[in-house]
Amino acid sequence: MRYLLSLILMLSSPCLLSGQSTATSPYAVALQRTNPISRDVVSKKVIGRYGYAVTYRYSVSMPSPDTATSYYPDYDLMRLEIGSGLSRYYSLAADRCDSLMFKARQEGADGVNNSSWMDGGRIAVYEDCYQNWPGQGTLTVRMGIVDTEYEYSEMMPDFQWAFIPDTSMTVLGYQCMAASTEFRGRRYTVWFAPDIPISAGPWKFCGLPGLIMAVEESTGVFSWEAVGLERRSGDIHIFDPGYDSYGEGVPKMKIRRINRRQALELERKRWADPYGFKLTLGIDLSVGHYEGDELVIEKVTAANREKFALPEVPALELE
Amino acid sequence: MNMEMNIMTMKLKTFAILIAAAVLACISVAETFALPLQAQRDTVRQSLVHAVVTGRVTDSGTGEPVPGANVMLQTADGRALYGFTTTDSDGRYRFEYSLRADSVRVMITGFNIRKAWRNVPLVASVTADFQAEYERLQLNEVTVTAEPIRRRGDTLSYLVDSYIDTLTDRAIGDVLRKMPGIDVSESGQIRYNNRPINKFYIEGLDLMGGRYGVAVNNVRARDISRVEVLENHQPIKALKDVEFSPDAAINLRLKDGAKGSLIATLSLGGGYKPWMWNGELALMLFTGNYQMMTTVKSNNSGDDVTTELTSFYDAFAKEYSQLGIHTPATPDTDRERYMDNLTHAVSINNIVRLGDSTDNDNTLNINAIYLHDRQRYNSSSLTTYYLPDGQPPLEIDETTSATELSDGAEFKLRYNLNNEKIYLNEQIAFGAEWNRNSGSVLSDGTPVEQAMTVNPQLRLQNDLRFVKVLDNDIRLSFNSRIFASSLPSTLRITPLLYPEIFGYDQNAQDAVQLMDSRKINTVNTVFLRKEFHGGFGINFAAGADADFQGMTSSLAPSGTDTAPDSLSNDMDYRSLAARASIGLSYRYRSFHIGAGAALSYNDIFIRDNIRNSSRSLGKFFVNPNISMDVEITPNLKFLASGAVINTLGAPSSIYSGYIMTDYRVIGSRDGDIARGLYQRYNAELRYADALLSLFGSVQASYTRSRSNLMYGTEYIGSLSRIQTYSIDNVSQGWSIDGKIEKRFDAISTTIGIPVGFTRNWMDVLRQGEIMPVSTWSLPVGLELSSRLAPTIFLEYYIRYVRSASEILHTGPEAAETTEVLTPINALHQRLRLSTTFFKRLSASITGEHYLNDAISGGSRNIFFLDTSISYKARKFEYILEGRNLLGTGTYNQRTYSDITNFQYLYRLRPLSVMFKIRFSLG
Repeated sequence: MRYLLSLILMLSSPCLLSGQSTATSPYAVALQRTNPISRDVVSKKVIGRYGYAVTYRYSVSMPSPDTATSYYPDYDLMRLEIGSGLSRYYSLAADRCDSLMFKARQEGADGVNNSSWMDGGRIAVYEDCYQNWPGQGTLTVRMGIVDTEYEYSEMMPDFQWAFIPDTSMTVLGYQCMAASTEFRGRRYTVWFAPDIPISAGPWKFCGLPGLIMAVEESTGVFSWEAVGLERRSGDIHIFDPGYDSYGEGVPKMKIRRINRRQALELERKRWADPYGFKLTLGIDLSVGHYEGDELVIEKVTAANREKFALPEVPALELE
Repeated sequence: MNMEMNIMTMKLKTFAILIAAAVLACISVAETFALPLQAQRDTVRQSLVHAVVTGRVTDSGTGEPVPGANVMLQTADGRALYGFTTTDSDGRYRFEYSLRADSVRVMITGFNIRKAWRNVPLVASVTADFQAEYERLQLNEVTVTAEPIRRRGDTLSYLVDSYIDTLTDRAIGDVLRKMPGIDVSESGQIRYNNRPINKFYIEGLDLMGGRYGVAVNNVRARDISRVEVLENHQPIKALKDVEFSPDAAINLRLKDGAKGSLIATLSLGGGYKPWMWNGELALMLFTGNYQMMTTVKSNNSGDDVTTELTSFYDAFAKEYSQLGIHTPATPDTDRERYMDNLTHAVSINNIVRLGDSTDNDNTLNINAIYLHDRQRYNSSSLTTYYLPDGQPPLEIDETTSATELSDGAEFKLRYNLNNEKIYLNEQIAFGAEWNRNSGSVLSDGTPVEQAMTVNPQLRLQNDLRFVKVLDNDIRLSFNSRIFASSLPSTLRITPLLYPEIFGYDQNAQDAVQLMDSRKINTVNTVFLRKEFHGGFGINFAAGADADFQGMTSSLAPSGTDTAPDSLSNDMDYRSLAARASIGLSYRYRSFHIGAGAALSYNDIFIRDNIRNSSRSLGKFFVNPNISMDVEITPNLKFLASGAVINTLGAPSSIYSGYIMTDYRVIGSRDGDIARGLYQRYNAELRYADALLSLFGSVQASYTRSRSNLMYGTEYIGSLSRIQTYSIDNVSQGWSIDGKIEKRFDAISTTIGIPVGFTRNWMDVLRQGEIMPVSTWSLPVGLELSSRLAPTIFLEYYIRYVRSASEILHTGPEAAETTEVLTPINALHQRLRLSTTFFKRLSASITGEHYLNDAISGGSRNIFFLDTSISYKARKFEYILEGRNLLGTGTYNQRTYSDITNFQYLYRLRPLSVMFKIRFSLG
């Protein structure tokens, strides 16, 4: 009897299993190694106006390979600026890092910290999505990697939404209905608020008769949740290197047009070959790590480059 | 019977609990997969109706159609959605569904439209029109509290806990490398976005004074709460409005538990063969106004601890004696393979905050280092000197064993004032070093003993730095350095090898060379710099230097009172210089150019007190330089640079009496003051495509050097006698280097191919004759790394070099013949396989191969095999290393240097196994 009770107790409290350790997720490390130093704020160009802005909390919880390790979940605050048709979805962390760097250069160089304001778990996702830009029906994405903004355009996705009955949730005080879809290898459940008749959503999501307030991906790795909603006007920006960089030491931003397949390959490279981007800039790179108790420092070359690969990071689009 | 019944009841109850638990366990959270819409259960026997629902939405006020309104088709109770559409340009909508329902709800929503709905019966065709009323979209605004914009001076940080991998991160260096842009480089130097950091602080204080390698390896990651990376760190607060610093600094913030108590880490290791030990103790104390870090290291296992003690900024120059015992050149392989050492090192670092605990402006640093280092060398070598006019080459066969013993201490005191108005840094450093080197050489069968002592070398250095910003954003800075040193050295050679040259009594047993150098110099510079908007920048510098030196020397057998004038020196040197330089830079979009010129006037005075003669020289030089880079396309970059540099020989390189610097080298430099003109031109084309993971570069460079002096060697038996000749000579060379590197993403493999070619021409003066020499070398290599599996990595490297020298003979018949010395082919390759199991256990095995086809009298092929296994537990780390598992005894090397050929057989450390444990105390 006691044996059965203790068995039930053990099964119902998995936290009793010991030996867990937590580590930074390879996703966060990959972003750190490949994110741009900063994008040049001076080269922002206005492409439209927005009348509403939604702030989403975008969470990425990478599954760990074994029971002994678990990864700190990562999150970013993303902003969706909605105009009439045109919308921009971008990372507030990336935007803040860029503007802090710019402000520091303007004010003088007494030392500024442009990324250490980020608390543990906060990442900066340098991936901007423009819905209906440059024209209606086109989706454009800008990915920032080291010194280049890679841009690709595709048709606005045609999501096949299936409505889930008898399911509702309240987000930010709004009653939301649920719908689901399958998109490029992943299944998503989204909650949208019919009371906000804006057919927009975070990332590439769109096409529901209400603002998408929350998204959950079926494997639990990716999720979005609206945490802020504002009725406010402002300019929608895109980075345009036609403007001069400010001062010395600012890496000149480059725009490179690619296609979506190549973008998926670049995402893969963030973890499969994280130092590769800096190496192709011609940067002489050396990395230190511990072998036993010795700090071994080695130059990253073609002879040892593959050693710095990170564990596999799941991508949003699998195909 | 009753008891049995009770037991039965209890068992039934248990069973019931289990069933209940199982049922509860079976009820799961509502699934999130989409389901095709089902008809309501309560409308049983409902038939399927094919319905077309249409309608039009118009503006209730104007009657105009409303396009783009959302129209939803819902269940009658509005709880579920069948579908939705938007009205067309005429305000019309249409639904067509086959449904089981009595009625449906049509709802319209849209921008600035009041939500409206109506239930309609579900029949074959139904129409629902709406008059849309205007209603401003009401949003219950929820604003995310804006994260406060942090200003300079506030506490900003990375939480270390979010970067710590508690299994593998022991010291802060482990964690630092995970932070954006931070890399720890070859020499332990930390780089941020590929620039070396300019300061390393702990709690805002610069404790290590530049030797932060010790902190990186010892401060435990778990004692640090935050790491601040101060980008564009301008350590000089007075420059905050003026100078953009591209460098960064790092500041470690400690956890409260780490403050005020003594932190210690200890590492111990032992191994065989020979019996080896390796121990390290680090003690750290951090309080509000005072910080201390002391490290004690001791090993005889080939670990080089001196690099950790190197100061990466605030350098304190060391002096080297010109005299030395004969030591073999070190092999071109890892130090740990041949280093036979016994090393103890202690370093103590303190910093005191003068002023209150928030004031980082006023600090005092006190640092001290003690190093005891004993190195032993063993090798045999064959040196071949090619001589002119077809004379047979001179071959010298030596078996060398040498021991170098040095004891040194350094002490440094620094006061720093750093506020927004002014930056002041005053530092004084004192160093002393005792050297006792001894060696014995079996030279062509003759044993020669040598002993060299420096007893001690003393040096003192004072640095003053001052920075202020003037009006108009002009930055002014002033640097002044005063350096003084005394270097007395003695070299004793037994037996007296060349009595006929020295003209001594044949019974003399030895030769003793004494040399005493003293110097005091000062270098002072003022800088002015201004950046303009529009991409222009200008800088200007002016300086004045003075250098006073004295050197006395004598060469005689021990016990002799005075040496003859030809073997003695008493020299005084004085050098004064006035300098000015100007530089301009311009940047426009992707084009950047910089040019400058340095002007200097040098006044040199040399006095020879023995010969009672003096000479002087005054020279004015202009040294221009230029550099540019331009981005031809986003992927293709072109860089070029050129410089012309006039040089004047150091006055202390002139002396008239012979000095014996090595047991078989004696030289005098009694000639003109050396003057040289050096030019260097460089161009590079670089291609980089991150998308294709392709990188390529081609670089070409040309150098030309012209001098008014030549140093000629005369060989008398095995003795080299060096003298200065006033002969104009030119040496030049060019080289081309290319590299291509590509990653093949599909197979996670990177391949790189470096190729180069170098050619040089110079004149060599031997036996009184000038020999024009040309050398060339062709290095070709391949580098490959591959990720065979998620935790298995392969690294491979191979480099082949073919090199040769040619002597151009100009015979009396004016017919030129070229004597080509046999080219050397050398190959080096290395293969490493490494893997990690369960994150705690990692293992690697490395094989290395060297081939030199010009080796004679030894093996041409050398192989090495090393392995290492390490295991990290929560508090301990265990490491097991096996080195040189094939027991390779000697390393053989053969190289050319102009027209001298060196062949070495170097004795290596034997096969050894080492086991180390590392843990924390307290």
